[in-house]
Amino acid sequence: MSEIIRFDSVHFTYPGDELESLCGVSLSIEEGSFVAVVGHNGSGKSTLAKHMNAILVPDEGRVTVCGIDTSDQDRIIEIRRNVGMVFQNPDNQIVANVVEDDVAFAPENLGVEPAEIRRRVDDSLKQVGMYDYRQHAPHLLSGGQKQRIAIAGVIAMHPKVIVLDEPTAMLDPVGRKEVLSTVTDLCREHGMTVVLITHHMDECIHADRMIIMTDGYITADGTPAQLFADPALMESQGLDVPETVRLMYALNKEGWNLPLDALGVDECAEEIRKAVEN
Amino acid sequence: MSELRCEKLRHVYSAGTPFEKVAVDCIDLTLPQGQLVGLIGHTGSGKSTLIQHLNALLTPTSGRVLYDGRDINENKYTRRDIRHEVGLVFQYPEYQLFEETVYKDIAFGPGNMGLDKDEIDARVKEAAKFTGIEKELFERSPLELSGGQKRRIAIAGVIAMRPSVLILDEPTAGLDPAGSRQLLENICIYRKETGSTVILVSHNMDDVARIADRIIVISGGNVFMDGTPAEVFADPEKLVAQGLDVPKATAIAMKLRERGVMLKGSVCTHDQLLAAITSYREAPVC
Amino acid sequence: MLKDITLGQYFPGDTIVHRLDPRTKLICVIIYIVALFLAVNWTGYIIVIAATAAFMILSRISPKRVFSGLKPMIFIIVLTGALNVFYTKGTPVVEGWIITWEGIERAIQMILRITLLISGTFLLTYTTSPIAITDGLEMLLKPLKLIRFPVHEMTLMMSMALRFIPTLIEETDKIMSAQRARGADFETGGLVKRAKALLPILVPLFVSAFRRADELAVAMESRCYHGGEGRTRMKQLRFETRDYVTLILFVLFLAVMIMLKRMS
Repeated sequence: MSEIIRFDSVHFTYPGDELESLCGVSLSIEEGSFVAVVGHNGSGKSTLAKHMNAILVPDEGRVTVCGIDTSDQDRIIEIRRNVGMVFQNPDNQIVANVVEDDVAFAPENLGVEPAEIRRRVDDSLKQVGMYDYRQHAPHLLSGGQKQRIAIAGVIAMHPKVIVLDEPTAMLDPVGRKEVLSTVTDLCREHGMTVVLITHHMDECIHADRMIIMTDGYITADGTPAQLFADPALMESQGLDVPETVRLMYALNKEGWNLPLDALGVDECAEEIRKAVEN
Repeated sequence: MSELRCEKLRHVYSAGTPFEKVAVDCIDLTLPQGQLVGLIGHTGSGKSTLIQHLNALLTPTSGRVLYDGRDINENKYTRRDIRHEVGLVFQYPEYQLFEETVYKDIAFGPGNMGLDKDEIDARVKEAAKFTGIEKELFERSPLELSGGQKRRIAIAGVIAMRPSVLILDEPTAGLDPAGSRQLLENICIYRKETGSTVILVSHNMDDVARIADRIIVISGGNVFMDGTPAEVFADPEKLVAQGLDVPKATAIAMKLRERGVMLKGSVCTHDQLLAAITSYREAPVC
Repeated sequence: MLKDITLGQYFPGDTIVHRLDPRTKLICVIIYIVALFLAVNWTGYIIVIAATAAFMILSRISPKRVFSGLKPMIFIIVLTGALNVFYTKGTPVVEGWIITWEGIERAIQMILRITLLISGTFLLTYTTSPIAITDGLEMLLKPLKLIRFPVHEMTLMMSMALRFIPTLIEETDKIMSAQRARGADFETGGLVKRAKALLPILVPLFVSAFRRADELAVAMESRCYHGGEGRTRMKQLRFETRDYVTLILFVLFLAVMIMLKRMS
């Protein structure tokens, strides 16, 4: 697999701020991988995300996306076409009054042929399971549905990467599941690189890789199983550990010998059953 | 001792139009003083409509809401007074902040009650203490603070009215794990020290199972289940069938039972699950 | 509740009226309004009513829906009617009364005129999505680009404004409830007190509108928005036979109205 996003000791400070939001972040993301980024509020996760499609450019250091330096103003559209971005508040990223018109917005901006836009809009809506709602007014849909429309609006650009900045923060459990399964599907079935920024540790379980950010630094980077296996680390970052790991960790303390990489509820139950029966 | 009660409460939106929607069908409910109640249900189950009846922001289509035996919708004075007794914190309350300083914003509620300056001052300081807002922030503009701080200020603004019932609609939505843990802790302490009733609307079953005395499940505008966390989560299949979540510990217990590991008792918290598994290993039941 | 306002609401459908090119409908509405003001006698009004009714039937928009949209205007309509009844000179209905036969006739005509005016524009917004209306406007106003009028930017702003109206109305509702829960009182007191009471609503509303605008701008940029240059449209506007036929019918309609006016 090849590298698709690269950060080289990136520093960034918001105008008017004293503290740096990114303090020399270096990172390489592989094409087709599912990367979860977690960290407390103000840890620099969103700032990191906004560097991936040149909404922000580094004060120092370099971000390269699909081989393009994001500070190259002339190629900004090319970068954004390749890296789609979905934000937290679904209401503030839908521009049109009809679902399909909203999904068409990005391809229209790119000057795609009308017939091709139609095709892309239909395909994108089918991919997120919202095709039947194409004529609806977005403000009457549920949060999860709106967020899927936002995702469709991004994948209609045919990007290589989709970056989601806390897409589930404002959703109820049903909406959260809808969005998460859509995103997982994009990565697993369609080979899209996914960068998911989230507060919900359960959403990281299915990621290939998990990055923890604290105060502008990357403080941990590994598979979810590796990171969750160290509850002390998670605790020190103000983060939760999924109940599955917490349970197995607590049982191990009482002398059990359970593997800590069974993150899913089913896997966890299976491991405990095996241990009990022996 | 005060008691809040709903009698055959019903609320229909846009009655008589094609958009007519029954939000609350027929709810009978008694909320005695001092309980910490978790109110759960789907989006659109009617729980938001229900809580807005408890402080007379909405008027029932039929049925009554009684506070200490008195109909809160009797006249416009009872409707005003009930808002001092039943404090309601909406979802994302930080978006209602408007004053120039944190202090003034927290003082808005007590100010509307017509209290004198010293009383207001005492209440603002007390509310700030409960929500963990430092005095240094009092003269700052609420708009320049972080999301978590704004949320606390907004909650303090309601607590400062010293309501005997505090309703919080998803107070931890959008906060990071540490922030939401801290906020829930503050709420528990507040309840303990003031003895007020707290109604917590939440989608997070783990939180509710951990801190609530009583859980009320709303579904289709009716009370679907009502009991202690142990009682409600004793039958997790019933909740799952409704498309509702159960606490993670309960979910793991369900999967274990499916696999023949018949854990004893109702499991809805980490500690209960841990205890159930440990005791099962020592004395398995077949 | 604020939510009940349907002004400018679009009701999707698949009738011939819905399918007409928005440009056709915009031109027709302009012709319709001109024709309405040309109507001076009952024949004229009956023709306009017939035209309105025809469109209502063709678009399957029930009269009930149109009338419910008129509700917010009822005050203006009644007032205009009343003024005309009382201030038109002529033969009194009963000797000594201020009300005259001419007054009653004029009042009915004025009420009809306003009702028809509003119904006609409602039929446009009910059957045409706001996006289509702005698209139509953009195309119709294209010649203005020659004099450097920012047509694309204007119409984009219009459609965004329309998109955010329901969101902001919902938000206003929410903020009002939240402040009411904190004991705010919007109903009693004098003018100054009431104006002051609006502050707790307006400040949060503005703050949130700016935040939304900010986030929206970032979201639009992320979706490669870079002005109107090089932009294509998914829905191409194309005049079909039905558009030509409709336009011809409307020109005829206008001609008839002009003739009627001349003859009277």
